[in-house]
Amino acid sequence: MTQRNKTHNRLLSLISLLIVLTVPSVLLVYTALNFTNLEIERGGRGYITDEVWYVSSSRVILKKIFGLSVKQDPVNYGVNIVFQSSNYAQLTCQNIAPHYSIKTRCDYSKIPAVYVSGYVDEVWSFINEVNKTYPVVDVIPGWQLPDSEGINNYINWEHPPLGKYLIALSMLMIGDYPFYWRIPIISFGVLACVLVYLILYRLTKSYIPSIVGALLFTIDNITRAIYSIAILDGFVATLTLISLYFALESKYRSALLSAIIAGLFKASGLFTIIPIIIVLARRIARETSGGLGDFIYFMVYYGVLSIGLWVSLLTIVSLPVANYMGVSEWFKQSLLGSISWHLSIKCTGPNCATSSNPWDWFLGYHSFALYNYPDGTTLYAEGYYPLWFTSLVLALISIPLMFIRRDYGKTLLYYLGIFAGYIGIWILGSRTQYSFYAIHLAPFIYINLIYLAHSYAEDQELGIYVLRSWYNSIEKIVNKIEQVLLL
Amino acid sequence: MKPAKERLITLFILILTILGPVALSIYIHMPGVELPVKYTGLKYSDILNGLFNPIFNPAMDKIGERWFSTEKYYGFKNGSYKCPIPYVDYKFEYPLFTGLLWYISTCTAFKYSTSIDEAALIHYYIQSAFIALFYVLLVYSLYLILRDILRIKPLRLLILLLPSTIVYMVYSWDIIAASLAVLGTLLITKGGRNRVQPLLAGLLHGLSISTKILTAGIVYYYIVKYVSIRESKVHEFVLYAIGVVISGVLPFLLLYWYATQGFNYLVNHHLSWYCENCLYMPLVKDIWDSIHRRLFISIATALAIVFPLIAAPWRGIDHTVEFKYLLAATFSLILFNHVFSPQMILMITPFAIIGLESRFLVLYGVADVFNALIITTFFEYSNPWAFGSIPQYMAFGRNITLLLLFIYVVGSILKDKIKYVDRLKGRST
Repeated sequence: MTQRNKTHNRLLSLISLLIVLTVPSVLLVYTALNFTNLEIERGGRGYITDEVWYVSSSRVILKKIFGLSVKQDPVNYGVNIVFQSSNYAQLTCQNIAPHYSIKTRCDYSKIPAVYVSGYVDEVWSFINEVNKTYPVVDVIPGWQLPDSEGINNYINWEHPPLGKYLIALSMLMIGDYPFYWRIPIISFGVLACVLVYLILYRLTKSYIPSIVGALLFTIDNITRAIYSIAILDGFVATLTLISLYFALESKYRSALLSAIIAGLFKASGLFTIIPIIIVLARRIARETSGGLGDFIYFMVYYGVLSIGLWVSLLTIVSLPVANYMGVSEWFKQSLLGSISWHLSIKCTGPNCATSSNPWDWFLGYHSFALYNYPDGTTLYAEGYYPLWFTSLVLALISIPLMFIRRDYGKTLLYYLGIFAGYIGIWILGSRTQYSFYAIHLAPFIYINLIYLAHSYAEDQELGIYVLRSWYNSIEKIVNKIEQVLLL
Repeated sequence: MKPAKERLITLFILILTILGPVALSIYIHMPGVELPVKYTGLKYSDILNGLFNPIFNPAMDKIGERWFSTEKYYGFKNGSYKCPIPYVDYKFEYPLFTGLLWYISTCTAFKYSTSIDEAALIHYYIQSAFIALFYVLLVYSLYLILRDILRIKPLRLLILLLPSTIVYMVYSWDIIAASLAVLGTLLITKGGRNRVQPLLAGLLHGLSISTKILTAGIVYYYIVKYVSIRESKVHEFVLYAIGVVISGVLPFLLLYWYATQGFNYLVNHHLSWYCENCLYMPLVKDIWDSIHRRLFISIATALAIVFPLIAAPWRGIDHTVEFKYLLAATFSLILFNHVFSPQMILMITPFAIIGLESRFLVLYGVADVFNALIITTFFEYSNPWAFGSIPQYMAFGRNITLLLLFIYVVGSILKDKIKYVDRLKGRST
């Protein structure tokens, strides 16, 4: 390569990176800010899906487990005061609040609470007076709690704590404010777009399809929505991409570790282990020439090893939680309870959130309502389903390519392996899955779609190879059936 | 020169396939004519019962709901406004070329008659004339394709004598869309030195889209062909594309600009339609469930992307294979559609005639009969949309038969592609 070509290439890769950094940053920040403004307009009464649970539990973890307070602006300092009963909350609003120059929110109905905000000293002198007058149960500084019973003690035990630690860290370091607690997920979102670009570039060795893939992933509804609100599935998706990146570099230990870390955010991250152990077991079985027996043995071996490692790491990161709850309670609730929670039917009926089957995500069917806008429209956790469906169809048709294009093989294994994970838990009983889980698959939808479109368009014989492979396989099956029938 | 007997037979087939269905279709749908068989469905047509009466007949319930402006409606009702304009004055769910034909017939009818029944009859005669004219064009184009391109006998034209052509011809505008699509295809396939030909073909295909939208698959095929083969004749592609844009895209843009309300109604009407005799009915029985529409959009997108990637047409493609592609393209937008009204089969039939092998035409005939029975039995049941009613069993039979044919056509195209690549390899080694 000449010097001029090298410079040209460097310039192109710099411009591409700049594009895949800037576009998601702008889009995700814009969406998150929009949610923040709406939240302020609605006086903290907007319900943004499961974010309300994760954020609340992060605040509780920070205060009650680590004994730390969230960072707040002293001029606009907020505190949630929880009483023994709602009467005291009303009396506080009627009798004490008018004597202070503070803002109050007195419309909590499911939790006996009052939210106050104002200058920090004024707020605390108000709390002191309330404390002397009425039986206060809890005082939680920070943004307004959602109106839900027991939310002041909620620590979301059914999910591992790493995601909540990260949200809590942003509350501690930057502040307890809707946009601030979304900064970690936005950062993970931008990283995810860059990773989609890098992985596509590694697969295609071409800038244009890599940028197109990354941008399509970025502008997909589900990406913009999930990476703008603080829920755990976005973290899992990004860590899965990191894992794939390592797997493509043949750094399987790092790939496995990334998958296990994903599992420390949400247990569904562990689905990422499926493709890695398949790749590892196949590799070792080939080295030892042990055939199917060795392959199965190493699958089980790596599977057990991975789960063991996950449980150990989960125990380590959960030590503060276990210390707070009591070890046996933690074991019962966070470990055993979590497994049964993941495999259970959560809520069915007209008042429950819309649940879906994993295959519904590819048709945008039974999508989960993430947010109801004031104008009556709804934001759904739903990708551009015609492209999702096409990607899945192409992936299934292109299975024979796994044997001639190894890097693509790994990518396809991740895609189908993770999908198989969701189908697996569906079979085991988890019939109420929600469409926002699909963010875990979203990057693979576009990596797969763009890679295959690029490959088939570039090499028309590839399509023929795939067709012939299927034709031969079907012919073999038909011959076998014929043999069996003739015997 | 063909022997006289053969020419006579050809002439007989042409006359039979043209006159038979046209005369019968006009007769059975003619208002006021009682049929020897008492099936209300046979009398039903979109031209009168589906549109004319709900829009213009004051005896109909909720007639006002079809009009955008009450003032215009009362103007029409009291006879001072003779030529109401579709999309502008009242809701009209068909594309622009159909709208134009509709406007001509309704305006003429109301200018010459003040009685609604008489106006309906005039409107019916004019629409019948339009449809018959396009049908003649269709039959003749098909005949030319069979004779000059496929070089086979015109016996296949007899497929047009099947009941669906008769029941659904003077019924809606599908035969016009089909006719324009086939005529355009004939022009492209025949080729020639005339530079105007690709432009004319594009114009005809565009006009076909402006009649019934669902023939868009044909245009898509030619675009994919031009792009994937990287033809040296770029100017041909450009001319074809210009033609399509002029008659197939611009009308919609103009409509959006001139009558936004009417355009929005047209779009929303189709987006909000339920599963009408659709393929997915046995899987999800609730016709209003969005899954039907989602499946159509997803499958159509997947076919539009996957097919060109894996089995794109090739340079020097045989006409027989090309017609299979066109049949698959037409199938894709109609068979998998959540709205598969029975008259839509008329857009498939011409491409089945030129794209299917003779033995499969028999199977197609079975689908055609099932299809004709949908409307025939429709009004005999209280809930003919529901799965379990006879019309829906007929639709099920039609859909399954067509699905089998679609699978065969796709499989056959893939096989041809493999053969083509093998031939190429054989030559190069």
